[in-house]
Amino acid sequence: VPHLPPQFQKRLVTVQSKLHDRIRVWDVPTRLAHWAVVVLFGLCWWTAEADHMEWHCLAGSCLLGVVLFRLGWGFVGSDTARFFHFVHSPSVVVAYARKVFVTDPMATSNVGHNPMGGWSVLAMLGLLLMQASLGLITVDVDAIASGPLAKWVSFDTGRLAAHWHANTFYALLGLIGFHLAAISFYGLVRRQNLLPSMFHGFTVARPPPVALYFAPLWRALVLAVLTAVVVTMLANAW
Amino acid sequence: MKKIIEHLLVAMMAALILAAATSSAATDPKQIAKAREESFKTLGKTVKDLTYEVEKSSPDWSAIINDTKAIERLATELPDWFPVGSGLAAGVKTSTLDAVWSKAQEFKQDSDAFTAEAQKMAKVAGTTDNVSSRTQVKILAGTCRTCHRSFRSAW
Repeated sequence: VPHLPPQFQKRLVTVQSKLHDRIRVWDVPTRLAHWAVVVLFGLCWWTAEADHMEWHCLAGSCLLGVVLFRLGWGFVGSDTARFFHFVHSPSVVVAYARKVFVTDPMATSNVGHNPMGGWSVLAMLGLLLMQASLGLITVDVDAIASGPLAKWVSFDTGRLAAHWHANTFYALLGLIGFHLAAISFYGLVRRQNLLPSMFHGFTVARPPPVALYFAPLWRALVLAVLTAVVVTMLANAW
Repeated sequence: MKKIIEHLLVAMMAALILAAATSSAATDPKQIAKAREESFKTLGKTVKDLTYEVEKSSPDWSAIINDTKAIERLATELPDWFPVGSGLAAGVKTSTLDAVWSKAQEFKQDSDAFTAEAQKMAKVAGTTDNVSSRTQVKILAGTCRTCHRSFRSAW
């Protein structure tokens, strides 16, 4: 644009270049599942603290559904949602960590979760699955506000599940803290704000990667219906 | 005669040792807290069994009546599970909050409410009426919850 002053010309070129390198990275189901976990985890925490146990069971069942959906989407979803795309061998993880923390803080990896983040996602999903599953058989100390499958286990087993339900919650808080610290590291050290990508689904990649595969939405709908059926059956104790 | 006196002395010594051991167990805060925990486990198990039994379409009323009698008995015993000096201040691992003793009047009110609802539960179960039994179980468990909120640590 010839009539713009030189400093704006330079900025315009940068913006144009960023737009040019802007690629779609997260599909709608992955983003929805991510934010649903955030909301539902918060709801589960609050309902437990406020002693609204019926709502807690409902929110926990929904959370279980979202986690099961995300696990399924990790096999049949888009490239960046699939486990094979972001779960790497320990040697790759160590090499990437060494690069980022020792030699090159700006080191890049493939688009989507980096090798360290991939294992963090697995740990998060594993802990969430464990937390929600334990909740199903947890027996409250009053033996009244218990999980939907609690009648199938003894009082002692249910109380043990309650104990681990509490411990897993603290482990999840630690992992969430680690996740937020990693996002802050990317923002502060690498000047890369990861948060907007999880809202609009786009990122800037230089050089642009080979074309990513994005799964059709109908597949996500089928998976969502299947997980909803499974969770409804569990929540109603068959 | 000497032998009889010897036997008597041995018996008296044994009785004294036994009494000392029993008394020590009864006053040891750790033992008291452990016994309290076990009693609450029994109570919890019985409430759980009762809760699921009344939910059935054809409940076993003899099992329900047995459970309600057990709960009624445990409810009357409950205040004795908390002798002074058996809390956290005595260095024992327990979920019991010190409020049990510092707010003794409120604790008594809550345990009395539990006993009253347990007695009502036993009466309602005697009628073998599903609907009122289910309602009463919830009221009964509600009194457990009210007490736990004030007098039991959440974890």
